[in-house]
Amino acid sequence: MSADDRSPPAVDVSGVTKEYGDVTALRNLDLTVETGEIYGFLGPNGAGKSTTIDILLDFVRPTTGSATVLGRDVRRDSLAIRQRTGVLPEGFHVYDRLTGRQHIQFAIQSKGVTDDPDAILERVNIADAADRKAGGFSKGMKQRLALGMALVGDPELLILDEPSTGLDPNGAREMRSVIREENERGATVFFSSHILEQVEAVCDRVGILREGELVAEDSIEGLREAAGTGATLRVTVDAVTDDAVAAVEALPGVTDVRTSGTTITVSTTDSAKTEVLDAIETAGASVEDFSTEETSLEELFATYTQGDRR
Amino acid sequence: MSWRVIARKDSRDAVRDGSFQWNTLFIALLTGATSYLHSTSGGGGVLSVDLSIVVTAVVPFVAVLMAHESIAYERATGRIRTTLALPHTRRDVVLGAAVGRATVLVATIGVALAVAAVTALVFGGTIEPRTFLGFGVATLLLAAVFAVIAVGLSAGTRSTTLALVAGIVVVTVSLGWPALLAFGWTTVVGGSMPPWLHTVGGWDPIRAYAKTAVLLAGTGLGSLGADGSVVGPLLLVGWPVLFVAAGIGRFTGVDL
Repeated sequence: MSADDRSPPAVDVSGVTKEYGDVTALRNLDLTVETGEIYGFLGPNGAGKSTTIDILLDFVRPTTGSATVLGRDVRRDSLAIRQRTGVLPEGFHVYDRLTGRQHIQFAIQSKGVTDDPDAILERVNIADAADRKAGGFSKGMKQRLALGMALVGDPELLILDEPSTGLDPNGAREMRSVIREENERGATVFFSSHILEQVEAVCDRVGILREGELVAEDSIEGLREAAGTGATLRVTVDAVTDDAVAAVEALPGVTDVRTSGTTITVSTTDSAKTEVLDAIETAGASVEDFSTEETSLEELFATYTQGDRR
Repeated sequence: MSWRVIARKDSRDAVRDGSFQWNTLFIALLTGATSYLHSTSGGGGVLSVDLSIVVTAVVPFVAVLMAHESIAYERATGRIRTTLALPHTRRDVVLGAAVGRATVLVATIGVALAVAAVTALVFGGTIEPRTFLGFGVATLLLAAVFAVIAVGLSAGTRSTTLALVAGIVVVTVSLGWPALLAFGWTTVVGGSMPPWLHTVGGWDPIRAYAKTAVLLAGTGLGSLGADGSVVGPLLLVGWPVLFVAAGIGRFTGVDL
């Protein structure tokens, strides 16, 4: 689905900082989700993904900065935004004494539409629990119910916070297939996850959040290219010297250097193989053997979210 | 109006969890017993007067008990996000809860008063229709007013315990308001209270209820006094509006 350049972005976050006392949850965040795309918001737990979503929904107010959703300001026009958006909130809590169907009916009445609750329950695969009180649902069933409520009214935008929580691999796959169907219907989808595979399988673009900052934002293809030209080199030397290690670390493009016995393991984000070998030899160590491994997207993700900040 | 959707869900919930049934049973037993004693003790007297003693003490506390959880519970458990993920304003959520809880309380007290009336008729007590009706309507208002006050307090906190304590404090202060004023005056200034302070002593929600009951009943009602000034209904409506407005203001301004 190609982005429509003439409509405002579905989500536009501009210079948002959120502080809770002396903890900074988001630092000057800039993020854009184009109309019609599926955007994956990726990051480890605690990175600030839920805080970002909370700000879009006016659950939480930014310390500085602003944001719009579907062209409307998140603070001034929150009601209009939530009328046109389907939301699966973080750690979704059911109303214990309402049945599955009553939850969907509540969403239908709240949005002022005329959907068929049973059709929605079918779609998220909990039709057989329609008349059971949701307090007795398993985690997976609650999550499906949450998705069902988000689908009510055919929203223009879906905001899903960790949608595959509590779902087994089958359930997660069904979730992704619903996301694809919604996108084909014309909805923009913005969802967060800390699991790369969930995002990789279905997103057009991915933003990686770490400690409140966006550290990478690209299409899946773009990130794969970056990963493809990246490599892990295992160099066996006669003896590891501090000079050799320092020389390798100083090279641009090198993101990680580890040593173990007579092996130096080097992660690079671009093709710097020969420079690495040259640096080691120039520093006085002698290269006895080396092997190369293409960096997977997972390792790239790990590097972005765990490696030392440069 | 989205507060209607929320009010419906909220009041049905009180039936689903059984609290409506239990509370109605409890109060109906109290009013029924009072009515029975009134009817069988002979010596005339006005049913409403006897009921008013029970009602003034019990109804506000029961209203707070049944309404204090509303918003605070949703905030404490995260269910507020489920509600606000849908297109409701925070104001709608508070108003919906207020209407929902008030409806439940009015139904509870309505049943209890009906039980009292039927008991009186069965056991030969006397009911003066105008008096009982006026007293009854005022008492239903009392229930609604304290339910709404409790919801207003609930909207101001994430702690259901705090909401309950705040509600109990409001009821207690209201019950003892003239005494509190008198105590404060004698301690701080000394001597007897000036007339204007006596007037202020009649402005709490429970004294507002008393005035309203007398006004609607068209006659003095024993311990509720004989002052049926229109200040009663004005304050009776004004107090919950104040608490709900404050609750909405606070709830709208904070992070969830």
